[in-house]
Amino acid sequence: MRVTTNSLISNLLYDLREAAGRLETSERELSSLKRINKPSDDPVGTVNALRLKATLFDVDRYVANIQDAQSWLNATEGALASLAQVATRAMDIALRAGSGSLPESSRDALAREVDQITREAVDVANQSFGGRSLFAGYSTGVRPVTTTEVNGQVTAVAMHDDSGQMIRQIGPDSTMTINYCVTGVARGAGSSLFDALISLRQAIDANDRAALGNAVSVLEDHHSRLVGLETETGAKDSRLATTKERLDQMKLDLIALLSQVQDTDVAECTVRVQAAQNSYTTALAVGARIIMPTLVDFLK
Amino acid sequence: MPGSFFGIEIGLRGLRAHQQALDVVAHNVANASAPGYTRQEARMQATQSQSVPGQAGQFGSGVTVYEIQRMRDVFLDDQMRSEQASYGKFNALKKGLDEIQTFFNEPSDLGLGSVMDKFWASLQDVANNPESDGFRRTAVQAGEALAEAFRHTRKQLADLQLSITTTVREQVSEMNLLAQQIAKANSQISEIGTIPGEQPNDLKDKRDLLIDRLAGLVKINATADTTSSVSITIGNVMLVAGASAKEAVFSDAGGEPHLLVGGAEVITPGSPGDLGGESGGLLNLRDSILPAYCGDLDTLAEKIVSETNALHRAGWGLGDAVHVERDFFSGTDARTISVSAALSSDPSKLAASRNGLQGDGSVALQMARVKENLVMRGATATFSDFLRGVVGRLGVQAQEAQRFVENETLLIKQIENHRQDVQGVSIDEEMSNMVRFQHAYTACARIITAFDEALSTLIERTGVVGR
Repeated sequence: MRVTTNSLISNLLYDLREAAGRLETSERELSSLKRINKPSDDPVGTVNALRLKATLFDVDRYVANIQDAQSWLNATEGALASLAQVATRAMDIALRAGSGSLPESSRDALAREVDQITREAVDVANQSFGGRSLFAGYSTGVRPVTTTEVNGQVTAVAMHDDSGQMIRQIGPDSTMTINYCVTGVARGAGSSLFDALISLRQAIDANDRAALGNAVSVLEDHHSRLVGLETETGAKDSRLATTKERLDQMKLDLIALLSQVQDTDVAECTVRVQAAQNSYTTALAVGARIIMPTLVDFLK
Repeated sequence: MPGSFFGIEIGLRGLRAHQQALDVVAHNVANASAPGYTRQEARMQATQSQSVPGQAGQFGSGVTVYEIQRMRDVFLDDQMRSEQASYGKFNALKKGLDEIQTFFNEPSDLGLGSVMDKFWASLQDVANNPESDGFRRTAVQAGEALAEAFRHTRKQLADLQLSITTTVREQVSEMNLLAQQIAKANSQISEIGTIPGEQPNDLKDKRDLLIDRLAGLVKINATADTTSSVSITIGNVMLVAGASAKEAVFSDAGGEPHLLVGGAEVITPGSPGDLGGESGGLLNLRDSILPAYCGDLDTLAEKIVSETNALHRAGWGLGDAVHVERDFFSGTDARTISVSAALSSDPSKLAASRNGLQGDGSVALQMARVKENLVMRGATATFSDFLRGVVGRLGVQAQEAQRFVENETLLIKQIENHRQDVQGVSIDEEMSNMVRFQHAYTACARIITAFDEALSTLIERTGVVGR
């Protein structure tokens, strides 16, 4: 087979181009630290990488939702604890008021205290978090409990009944309701905690021993329900904490998987770049040698 | 005996022949790096020998160059042209698909997939805080960003289609120019070819170069005919026949691409995408690959619009006294999608709630969770699955085109090597030929000198007896 000058040159050029191409690919991989720079580099890997990224994005979203839910639940738990304490103090007062004979002045003082406790309970129920009422369901701009006063004393309490549920998505298929409505917390009209407190004050004022005894058991009932709700809130919070831990672990695993799919192995790539550089320089050196001498150099 | 001076005549013929041979060597060496140059060889042959009555044998009469042969393999030329057409086609496809990959810009945080995810995340924020004006504005912004991403990518695809049309028209003009030049070369070669003994080798080289270039643009068949013209057909329509070239016209009449050559439609098996060459590849890109991606984008956009709007219409905006049905997105496909005017001017109208209460974000949550619904591909894929499928397909197509280009490059290189084997100039070979002819030339000159001396003996020294 004849080897012509042109074929020598074109072979050399082709091989140089190939070597330079390999060098360029390896260098680009090393500088971007990504194995996949466009879909055609690895179509299947690209789809995997996209899927993993989408899942990671979702996980971050769920973690953010969980943190939002946890802060709401904490505020709720605090409010429920305060209300439970109110019930306990009211029970104390009821017992004291029902024990033996108290002078009227003491009874007056106790009645005044109950009135204060009532207002305190109303305040707790009207508490808001981040500018939104804790216990007003969807009507977050409204204070759910309103009072009617006569002669400086609370005589009636009206509750806004909105049982709207605030839902947070904490997983691909799981959501959690994070709020309570005031009617669930204090129970419905006619038999609410507030009604019980008002009845207690009225019973103290009227020195009604029977009513006082009744008030204690009613308040006990409210107390145990409030403690139950407080426990439930705590349980929700701990479920969220576990979920968040799981999501954090999942995130680490996903990041590791994603890195496997799309990131360059730096050590391996550095070696490849080095090898490509070597082969390129060698090709250049050899090329320079083979194209130089012809018969012309040797003829006189 | 043929004549006293016949020996000199033989020497002279030798000088002439070897001088011509040296000229050919010089021509080869000078053109060694000229693209498309075919090396030439001077073919020598003994001239007609004469017989002399009464003498044995025939008298040789010297040498002549009867032909300057052009060392070309027509079969390799045909192979090369066919592979050039394939290379042109796949290269055009590869470049186009690479461009489409940059439009989609995946995998990255700037691609359509990320923009979609951010939009749905912003709706989750509204669901968690439906009273907040800030989160509503952010959600409307995110919606606008999504719409813009769709429109931008769609426009880039459409622009590529337009620019392909322009490029194809330019290529058809170039085809016409080449065809005319080939026709002219044909007529020149035919004219010279009729003169006996004349070989228009360099004109043939020029013609072959033109045909090679044409073969890269569109798949052609080049056949030589008896008058040493080359006729060129595209498909089964004649483009160049002898000295006349028909005109090729490209048009998109009736929404379909047509290539008309001299008024006749080029019919190739299948569609004009089978035109082959760069033009064929570009038309394939414009008429089947790009429309598929445009269609996918349009489908995705249209589905997002309809699914989001269906949920949005059932919801109440902030501060609505009565239920008003509003759309979140307006538009029907990736070209026209945008956030509805009502929302962009007043984000409080984003229908987050089911019943008008300000703390209710349930409709916003539904719209955010639409990303989990299997609404694409006959209820088997989510929006993100669908987009990933499109990107995956793009990657596979681009990778395939890349492989074909690499294969064709290798094939062409091999064929070119074979061609160079036949037609390439080897400096070493020419140098040794040069030495050979030089020696022969010198020897012939010597022969003349020898005969000269012999004759001078005859002329000057005979008949001087007694002077």
